[in-house]
Amino acid sequence: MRRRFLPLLVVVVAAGLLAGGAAAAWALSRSGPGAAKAKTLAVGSQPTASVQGHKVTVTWTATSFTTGGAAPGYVIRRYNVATGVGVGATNGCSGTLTVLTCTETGVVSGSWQYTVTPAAGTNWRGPESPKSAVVVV
Amino acid sequence: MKLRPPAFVALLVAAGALFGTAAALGALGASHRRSAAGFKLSGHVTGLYPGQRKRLVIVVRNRGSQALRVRAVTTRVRDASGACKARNLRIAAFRGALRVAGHRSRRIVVRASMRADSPTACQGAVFRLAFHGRATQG
Repeated sequence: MRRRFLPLLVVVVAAGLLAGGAAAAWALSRSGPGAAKAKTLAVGSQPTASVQGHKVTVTWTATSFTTGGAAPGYVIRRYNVATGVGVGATNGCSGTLTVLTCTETGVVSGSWQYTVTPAAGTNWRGPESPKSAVVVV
Repeated sequence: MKLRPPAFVALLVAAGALFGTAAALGALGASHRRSAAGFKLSGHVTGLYPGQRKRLVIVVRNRGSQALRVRAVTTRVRDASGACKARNLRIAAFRGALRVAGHRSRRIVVRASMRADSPTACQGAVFRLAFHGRATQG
């Protein structure tokens, strides 16, 4: 009787070996360390400003990140010399600019100075530049 | 005592199942022992800023003698600081079948990018990364 079941035993044992072999085919799961470093914006360069009527043209040189590479954008501010209060430049110089010059139109009469702040993305801002020479509108 | 045929078959199947399980567990144990010297993942990326995509090169070093196939690599990013959270950095996962010969290294390149609205506190931040890889014998 037991001889009749010998082939069955062989099949079962072979299945067990195959199951073991299948498990051995799956190898490894491993972890490892790494790092990601972000850049830092450098200080903006002092701009120059020139007046023509109520238009002021502001020009500046490119700012790099501290580890190299040009800043992707710039934000311009205008300061009232009399009060020291600064506001974001408007009409032609508003928002984040990707160029190195802009002309603000409709500037009200007064004495003004401009600054340039490097920018990246929505929120990254570098140190503000020194103020430009005073322009009188 | 003589066993009736159905009982004998059941006994054989049970023995086979036990044997198979033992063999599988033994093989898994061997696999885990191999994993101690299996493969190593490392990599870093620099120059990140908002809205920019960078290539993150992950080096897979097979420390064993048998070839491997890397099937997946995922990256967990840790907070750089209290003000610069991990969610500001996105790193793509790798899926594939990269073969790495025994005692050799291969490189995997995935995309890393900072969110455009990441806070200015993320300037100069260093994010620690933890790679997790899965490979089969290949």
